[in-house]
Amino acid sequence: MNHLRQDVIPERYIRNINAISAAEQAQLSEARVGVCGCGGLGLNVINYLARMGVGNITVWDPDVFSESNINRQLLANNKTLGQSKVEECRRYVHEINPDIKMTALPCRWEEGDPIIFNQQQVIIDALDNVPSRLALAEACERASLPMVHGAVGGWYGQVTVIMPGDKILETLYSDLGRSGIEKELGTLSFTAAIIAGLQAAETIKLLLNRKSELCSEICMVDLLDMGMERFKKM
Amino acid sequence: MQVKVKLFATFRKGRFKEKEMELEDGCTIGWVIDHLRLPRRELGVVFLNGLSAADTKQLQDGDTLSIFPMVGGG
Repeated sequence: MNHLRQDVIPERYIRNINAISAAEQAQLSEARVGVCGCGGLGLNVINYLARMGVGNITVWDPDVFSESNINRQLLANNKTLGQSKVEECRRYVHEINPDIKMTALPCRWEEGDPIIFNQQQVIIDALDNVPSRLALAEACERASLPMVHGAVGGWYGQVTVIMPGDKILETLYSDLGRSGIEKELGTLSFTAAIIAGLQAAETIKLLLNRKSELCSEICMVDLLDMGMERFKKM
Repeated sequence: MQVKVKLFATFRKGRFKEKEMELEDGCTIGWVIDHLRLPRRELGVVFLNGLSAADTKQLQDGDTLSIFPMVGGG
């Protein structure tokens, strides 16, 4: 994205001000965020980040849209069935703001260029399986990158920010190879959108060096009984 | 001793949302998990008085135990 002047706000971002300052808006235009997974969570996170004005977004996902994605994935519809998720996402972001540099990588994040991975400021965990999430946390640890974790199942979800040195994901997922309640309950559109919204909010705070309560806490969301509780990690 | 046990999401089905349980001294988090027949393969994170805790941890009178199933979808 063309670097924004710190004192001039483009019309498209005028409604971001004063929730964030003009200088912070300019800061976002230079920010770099990597999103692993372009499904229920990832597409919503990217939508929010693009509309906030994050200037550089990289997304990894090898999948194409299938009919079972339509209940919850932002860009899944009759026209996009069989199309690459990351490529559809790139087109969508270009429509929002052509100045955003969107890198669409149709591969698993593990198979991508590690140099691109290491160039990010924040990594978003928008994956859909436990082993890949644990591997991503390890990769972020090695690269000293903060990771914003989100997961959903049915009416329920969880979000936390994992800073280098924080081993919380091993507590959330104690054994490799298992899946969660999503196998029984599926995933609902609004649960994915809400958890993705929380991930996007935490990402923006990290990028702007604002305090993120979820660096030391886990937020558990229950949309059926309408509860949101935060717990200390240690 | 009395311990408040809170269950979340699918763990509430056929059990309860929140309950004061009368437990013997020395009881661990793991004992409560097994007593309530919470499947270990579905177990996510456990918080004791708002802090994440291992299942070997012994409970104390007045503790609050929150037990979550694993959530992994995206």
